[in-house]
Amino acid sequence: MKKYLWFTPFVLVPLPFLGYPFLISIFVLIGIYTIAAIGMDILTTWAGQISLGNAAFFAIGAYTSAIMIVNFHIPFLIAFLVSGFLSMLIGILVGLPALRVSGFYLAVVTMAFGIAIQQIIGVFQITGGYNGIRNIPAPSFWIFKASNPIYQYYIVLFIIFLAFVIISRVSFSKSGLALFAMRDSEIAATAFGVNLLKYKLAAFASSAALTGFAGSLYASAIGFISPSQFDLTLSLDLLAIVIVGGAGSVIGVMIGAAFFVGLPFLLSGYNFSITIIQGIALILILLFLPKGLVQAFKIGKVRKKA
Amino acid sequence: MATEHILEVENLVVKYGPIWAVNGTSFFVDDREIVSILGANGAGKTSTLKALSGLIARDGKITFLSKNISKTDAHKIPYLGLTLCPERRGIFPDMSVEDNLLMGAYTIRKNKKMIRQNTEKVYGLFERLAERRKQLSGTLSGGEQQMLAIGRALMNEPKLLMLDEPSLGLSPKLVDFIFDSLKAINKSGTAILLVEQNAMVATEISNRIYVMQNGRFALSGNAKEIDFQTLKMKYLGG
Repeated sequence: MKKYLWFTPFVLVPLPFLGYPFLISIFVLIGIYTIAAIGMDILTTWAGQISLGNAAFFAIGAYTSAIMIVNFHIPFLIAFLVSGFLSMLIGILVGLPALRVSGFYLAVVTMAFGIAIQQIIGVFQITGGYNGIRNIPAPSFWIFKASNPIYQYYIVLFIIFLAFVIISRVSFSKSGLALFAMRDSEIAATAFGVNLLKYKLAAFASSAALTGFAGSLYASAIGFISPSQFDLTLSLDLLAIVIVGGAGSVIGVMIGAAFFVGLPFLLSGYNFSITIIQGIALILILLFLPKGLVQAFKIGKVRKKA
Repeated sequence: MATEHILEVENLVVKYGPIWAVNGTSFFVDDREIVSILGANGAGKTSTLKALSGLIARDGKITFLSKNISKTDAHKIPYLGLTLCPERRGIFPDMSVEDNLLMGAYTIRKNKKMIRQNTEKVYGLFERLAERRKQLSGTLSGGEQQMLAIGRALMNEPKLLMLDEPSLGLSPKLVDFIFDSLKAINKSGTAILLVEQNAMVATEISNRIYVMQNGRFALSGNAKEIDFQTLKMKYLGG
């Protein structure tokens, strides 16, 4: 139970800001990106695979959910679950080439997939073409009917918590060990009985599912989606969130998401380019905190030990 | 002499595109034996081991403990008791020594008692590993990494242990230590199939040797009866 306690502050975080729904909706957005970035983290840091196409899973989740809700008036919860599931199925298909190619080649294959999905979405009528889908209602189910972002906040937080619980359980299991072994040396892992097919596809499936869930939440939280939101930049951002925040740690990914999603809002009142600031910050972080921003928070602990 | 070989290979062929790395070799390993496959770079030694463990496509008939494994998937082979200790050690650098050993016991993961026993056995054999059980294995020295690789391979109780160049990059003293350990492992009942460039040390501990050249056996025989002059000639391409 102890290892879950660090989560409690996040339950209280929005309370002082109840009167500022805009601020809370930024927290929601950070949370949504966190979920998607955890999906990226599983794939890269855990399984040692790379994907530059995770924006496509985000888009698949967002569009599945939006079409179901807007066109067919299906309740959010069902649309949400279906979008994660569909995303997972497509993730398994995308994982298949990973059995043959790795490294840069896999990066290019997944990038092509990401761009293809974006283009495909653009040409269909049901997806609204390049104009996208408007007026997607805020997520609501059961007692969470109000459009107040505070409800969205707790939905998102609950999913992050669930992901964290599952991740920390798996990482101490034999399956987690097998996953790490595959990342470190595929030949040795196979030589000791790890079925690479199973683990690679599982990694892609869970990564895609999480990203799909995030996409579904995103569509409902923002209320408007169009193909241009799901371009290569989004895939790269997800990867950058993991690296800047701290690969292999859920809190790290949360920090990374806050940096990438929250910072632009924080600086939007000023008159200088966010891209430049983010670029400089990125370089500084990689130079001085190679394990990500989460490293900065652990310095105190490390020194205490010495 | 038992007539039943634990490993029997007939007409093994490994091709990388148009290149024939292993060109129809046949050999066998008996119970409790140490057999070495010697040869220069590119002779096809590593390809032979990889083929036996299913890591690369192969043709021919491979029988292990009376079971035909020539079509068996790579990840199923260690379950049968045929374990490969890969070239350049192939340890998992970002995992601790202990986790590496646990990973070696992946095939017997349900049997906690056996895992504990085997871990103790490995720590008994290589005391250095016991001292470093919490250390990340990527930070071990070359010799320690080799010990870990061998120890990890012993974790799933192989009937036949295949080792790919255990002497690679080690000092002569460490090579002696590693080969003494292999002898001890063999004494306790594990057959060993060794692939080596270092012909001298390998011949010393082996019962039989095969000398490989261009994907074929150029020479084979009892380790004690082999004529070093001929061995040298075959090695250098005579």
